[in-house]
Amino acid sequence: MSAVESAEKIPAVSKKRSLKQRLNAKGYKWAPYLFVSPFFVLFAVFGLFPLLFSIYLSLHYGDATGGIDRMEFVGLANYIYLFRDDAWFHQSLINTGWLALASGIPQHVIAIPLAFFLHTSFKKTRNTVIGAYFVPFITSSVAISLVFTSLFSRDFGVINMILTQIGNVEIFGFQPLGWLFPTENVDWARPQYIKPMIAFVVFWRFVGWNTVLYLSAMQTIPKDLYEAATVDGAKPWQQFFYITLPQLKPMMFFAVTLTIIGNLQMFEEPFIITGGTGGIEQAGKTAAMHLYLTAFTEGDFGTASAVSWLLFFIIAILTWLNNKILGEKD
Amino acid sequence: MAAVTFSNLKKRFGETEVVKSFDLHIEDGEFVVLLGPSGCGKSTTLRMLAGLEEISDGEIFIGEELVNELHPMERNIAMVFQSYALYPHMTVKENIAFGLKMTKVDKDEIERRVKLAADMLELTPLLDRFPKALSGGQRQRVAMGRAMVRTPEVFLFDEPLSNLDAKLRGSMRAEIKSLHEKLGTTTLYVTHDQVEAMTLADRVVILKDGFIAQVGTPKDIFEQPANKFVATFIGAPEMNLVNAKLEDNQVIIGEQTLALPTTYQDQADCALGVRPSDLYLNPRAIESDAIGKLTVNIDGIELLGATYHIQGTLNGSRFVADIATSDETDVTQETGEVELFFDLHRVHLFDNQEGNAIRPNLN
Repeated sequence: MSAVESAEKIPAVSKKRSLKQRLNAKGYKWAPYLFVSPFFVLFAVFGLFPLLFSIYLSLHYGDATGGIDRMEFVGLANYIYLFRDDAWFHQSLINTGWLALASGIPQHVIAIPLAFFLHTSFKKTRNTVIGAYFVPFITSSVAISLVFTSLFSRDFGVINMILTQIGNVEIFGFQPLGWLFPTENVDWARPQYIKPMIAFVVFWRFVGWNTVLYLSAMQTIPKDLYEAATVDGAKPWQQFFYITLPQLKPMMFFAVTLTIIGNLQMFEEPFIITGGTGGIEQAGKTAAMHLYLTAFTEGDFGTASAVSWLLFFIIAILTWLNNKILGEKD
Repeated sequence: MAAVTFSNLKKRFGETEVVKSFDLHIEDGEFVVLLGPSGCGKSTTLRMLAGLEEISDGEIFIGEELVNELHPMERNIAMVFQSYALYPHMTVKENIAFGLKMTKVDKDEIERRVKLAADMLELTPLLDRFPKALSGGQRQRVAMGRAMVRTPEVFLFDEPLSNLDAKLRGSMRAEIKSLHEKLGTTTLYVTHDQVEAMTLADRVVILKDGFIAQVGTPKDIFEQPANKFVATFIGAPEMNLVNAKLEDNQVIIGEQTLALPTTYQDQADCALGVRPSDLYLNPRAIESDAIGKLTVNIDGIELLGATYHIQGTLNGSRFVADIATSDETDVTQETGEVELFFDLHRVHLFDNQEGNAIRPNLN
């Protein structure tokens, strides 16, 4: 077949349907959307809908399981109830704030110097040590909580065993450490102990994560800056305060934001440690637990949705504040 | 201000000896440039003086004081880094004042010195800016300001201009030079750029593989290289080196001979060195009582604007000539062979075994 012949044939075929026409066909137009749709469908059903529906729920009263038409529009009554009358919600907010601070602040105050220590003192074994610190973060929070529950157990817990043994050390009939350490088993579930215990578990779980974050940020600080500071006469602790800390600020913003979000939504650790009850006098009940119990035990989805939205606003405000304090200023 | 003395200085990193034996005395107020290819030990030497690198062996004195064991800040030196190492979270003013603040200088005195440095370096309008808002040249000046305010005894520069573009490098070079003239502080400057070395230095120290290859004024180094390494390292394009024989004051290159105007010891295996810029097509362009001529095979001719760059071969070695375009001879038509003329007083001879320069007999 000559070139002229084949050239004549092509227009004959494309007369039926050119490439452009075929691409404009309905199937082709919709195909890309069809291929990306699984994500959007799943997101809409399991992400966007519950989000928007929770706004709707928070403005209604009644049992949602009985059908939407059985629910009654109550305006902001759920929110007002939470603000004015729900003492347990108030308690859970106080608990959340307490736990967030008591577990959150040490996470950073310890993680930064720890990261600096790992950065400066470890060379070859650094990754192994970091790995060890990181293990709690990748371990199931349920497993961690169960392990700590048994460690803190009143009658059989290792912690009570060690503390009472120290407290009961006797020298010439006296117990010289008895004033500082307990001489009898401590009931860690009591209101004054439960919060520190939960805070400790949360701190223990996340300190390694924060250490890794800060360590990675420290590794990006140029060596030259430290050398320049050395020549300028800055001692190691001054270098830490004048070079390392300011250079860590962007990472601090990121890590503190994660802590704020995570700690205000704290759920698994207090839930398992208190056996899902919130503990004696609700001393270990967080806002997220209150939300869960309100919705799934009491069946009051309206109030629970209002709790979730209030929690959202608190997190948003705190993150905004954090941005004001630690965020980049230009 | 103070003199600096290095005595048999050595530096080892594990098994590798980076600085092998470094002896040098820098006079008070002198500007000395350490020049050499990458890995020759020049930055390591500077860092040992700064106290940022431990000394494996030998001694360093600043003035009369042995500083081997002194902390960098006790040595009263100031250093300008290649990366400038400005503290990114501090303003220009805070950057400059940082060293003074660390050494607890009085606040008013800090103000006064920062102002003085800022005026001198034209940084006054930039004092409240952060380093990221500065251009490369401005950052460089801040780094110099930071070094200056501490009124150190010795200034150390570690390739300070290598991050700048060619044009800015030229003007910063001039600024460094004028700053040194104003302050008169002893300066040790590390670079791999020979133009910087030639223009800035009172004396240049050329390093090779941890040894000093030559110490001398820029003119000495260029005109009387002590060995083949210095001869080829300094000057662009590098000096032509052709294997030759020295017999009865004649250089024999293959079939060609050159009668030298000065007397030399005979040497069976040596190298003749001629700088490309010393070559002419026209012997009348040379004012000398002794003019040499070599016939070279042409491999190619390039026009570089002000010069023709002739690449050729002589006795199996590459031979390059830079001929001024103002030369009345038209080289573009040349093919095959070309006759190149030069002043015989300006040729160099090197011993091929050790690579050292062969000097004429004095009598």
